[in-house]
Amino acid sequence: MTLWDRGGADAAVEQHVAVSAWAFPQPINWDQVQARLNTEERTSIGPVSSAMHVFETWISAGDRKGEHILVELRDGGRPPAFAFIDYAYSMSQVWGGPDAQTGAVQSVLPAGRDQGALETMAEAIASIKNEVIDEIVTQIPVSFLPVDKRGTILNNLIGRKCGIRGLVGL
Amino acid sequence: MAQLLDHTADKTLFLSRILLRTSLSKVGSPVLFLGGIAELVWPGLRVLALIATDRLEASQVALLSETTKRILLPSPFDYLNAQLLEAWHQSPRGEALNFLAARHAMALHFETPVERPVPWYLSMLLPRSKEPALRELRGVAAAVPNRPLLESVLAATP
Repeated sequence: MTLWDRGGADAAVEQHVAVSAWAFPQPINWDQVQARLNTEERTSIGPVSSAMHVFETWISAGDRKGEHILVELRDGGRPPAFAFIDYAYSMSQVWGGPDAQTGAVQSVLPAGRDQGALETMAEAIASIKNEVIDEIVTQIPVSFLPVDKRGTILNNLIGRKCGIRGLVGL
Repeated sequence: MAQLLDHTADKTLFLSRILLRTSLSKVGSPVLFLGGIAELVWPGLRVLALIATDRLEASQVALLSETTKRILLPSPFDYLNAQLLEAWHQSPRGEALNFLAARHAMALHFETPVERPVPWYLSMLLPRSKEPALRELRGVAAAVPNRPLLESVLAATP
């Protein structure tokens, strides 16, 4: 991920943007391919879907759509690989300030709850040290992330990670 | 030639090419032209038309990922025709190609539609009636296995 300041000369274009590499050379999204998945591939989605449900609830990514999920089918009986993209609204759209009281988000992938994946991801998020979150968030220049929004994001990421189990019904 | 064209707000023709970009990670990677799609909006009438290849050459198949093989084989036309039908049902008049361009914006890519004047010969052929039956006219889709014809259409599409 690279932050890019395109300059403010043209008011019609966004000045501060984030550029990321494609996850797969030939990316196809969930909406494009989901009708062509076989039973084994559909079954394999459960752990991924559940883990992402926990993560996206933590960051309040509530605008998720099929076009945000890139799918890479693989030969040799391996399960599909996924890349989740475009989190522009996360940590901001519904976080008006500190201590945001927002609940679980909707999952896009049609899969049942995988208890093991839910537990694993919740534990992983809860165990992230506050200093690590602080270091990552404060790396972003204030021209891209103003100080007040930085504070809101830090407050909510740290506060919500401890309560993430309850937010996803564990 | 301008006087031979009929171009008013309620008579529009939108065109879009359908491409498969074989690698978004490498500059200059091959781009496969799969077909073209058009939406014609006319008083009392809406037509979607697809022209697309129904098979890929072995050398083209070799460029596909497992995922794009799954959706485009054995017949790209079959997949694209299904997309056309979804656009027909899920988008309002004049918005089908925008709908498809938004949905297919990655490796499989419907280009941003361009608006073109309705050719004079269509103005001559299309009915002026607003009979209810015409309002119910369904989209038209046609497989074109004739590769030279497909390529000539693609060359003429902006």
